Amino acid sequence: MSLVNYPKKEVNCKIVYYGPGMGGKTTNIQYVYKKTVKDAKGKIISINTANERTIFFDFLPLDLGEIRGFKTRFHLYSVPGQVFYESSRKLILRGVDGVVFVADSQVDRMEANIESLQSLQNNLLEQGYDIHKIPLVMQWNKRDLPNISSVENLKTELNKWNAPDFESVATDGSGVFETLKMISKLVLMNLRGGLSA
Amino acid sequence: MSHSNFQTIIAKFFDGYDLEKSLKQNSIYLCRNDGILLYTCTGKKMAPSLDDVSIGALLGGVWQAAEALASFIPTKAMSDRNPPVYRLSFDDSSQGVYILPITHQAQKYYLSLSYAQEINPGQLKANFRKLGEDLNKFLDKKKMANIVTDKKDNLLFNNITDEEMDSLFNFAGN
Repeated sequence: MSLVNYPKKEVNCKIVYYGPGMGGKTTNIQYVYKKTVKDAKGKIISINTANERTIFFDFLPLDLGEIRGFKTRFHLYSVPGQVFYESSRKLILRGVDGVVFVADSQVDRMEANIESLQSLQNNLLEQGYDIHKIPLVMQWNKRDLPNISSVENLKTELNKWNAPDFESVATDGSGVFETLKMISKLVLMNLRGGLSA
Repeated sequence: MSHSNFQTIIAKFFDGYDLEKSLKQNSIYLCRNDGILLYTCTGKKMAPSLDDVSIGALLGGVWQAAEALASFIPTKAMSDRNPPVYRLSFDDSSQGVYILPITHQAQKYYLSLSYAQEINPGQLKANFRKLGEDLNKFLDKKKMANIVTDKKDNLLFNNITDEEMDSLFNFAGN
């Protein structure tokens, strides 16, 4: 649920990184934070367990600059991936404008990917969103590891909506900004408010 | 739903409101249920630590988590008020955070007070609740139906180019 402030000429959008536990959602956000100039970012907020697993959410506000006279601000959230945090994931999806699904490419994580994607679909539906209509980008993470599924296989199993997809290694940043740029574009182009450029 | 002039209306309310002195010295925030901050007033007692946007995210999160916990309270335990109007308090005897829900046109907002070094926090909270009630009345009077939502269905931006996106992402260092 974006906020378009016409008097201030400002748009605020919410992007949620979703996916199975240990898939690289937090690493994506941390990389964006690390590589973003100081003036364009706020403080990263992480609500973690003692061993640094996300317990509620990670949050990073980004001021991207202007597009057609509108200042754009993106709020990046990641959900906790572990199965038993389902209620937290539901809360974080409230008001979402776009979703990045971070899939773990390792063969033995396919089942976890499918389970998480199913949970995303159900939780979006509960909030009144249709996964076919909401801006969605798929990210095939951990492409540097051995024993990974082929991209074709990942697409077949996980991307039946034919959403834009990117390969990534979030730990070294490859694919991270490409993914963010694509979801940001989709979200901005999905904003409704009545002004034509 | 895009909330267009809502922030301006909220700002007008606070500009014209005679805030009680102790409230002025502390910090007040108003955010939407998805954590987007709509109004902030930082009093001199507060140390600037988090940026305002992050505070909005935390407020939205903490309220929704509390609300989810409260959903386990059996309905029999509730009074005859329906639905119950909760308030969220995280405090000790002189400082803390106090959050009230503001509901307007089926949309929920959170009005929050962060306070410190208060001799009488009970009185402060009562004043804050009065502020919340007055805000609710103000919004009702304003008939926000006509100004909250731009119901136009056409897109805000058409055909954003890759060049425009590249320019937007110039902030990323290498």
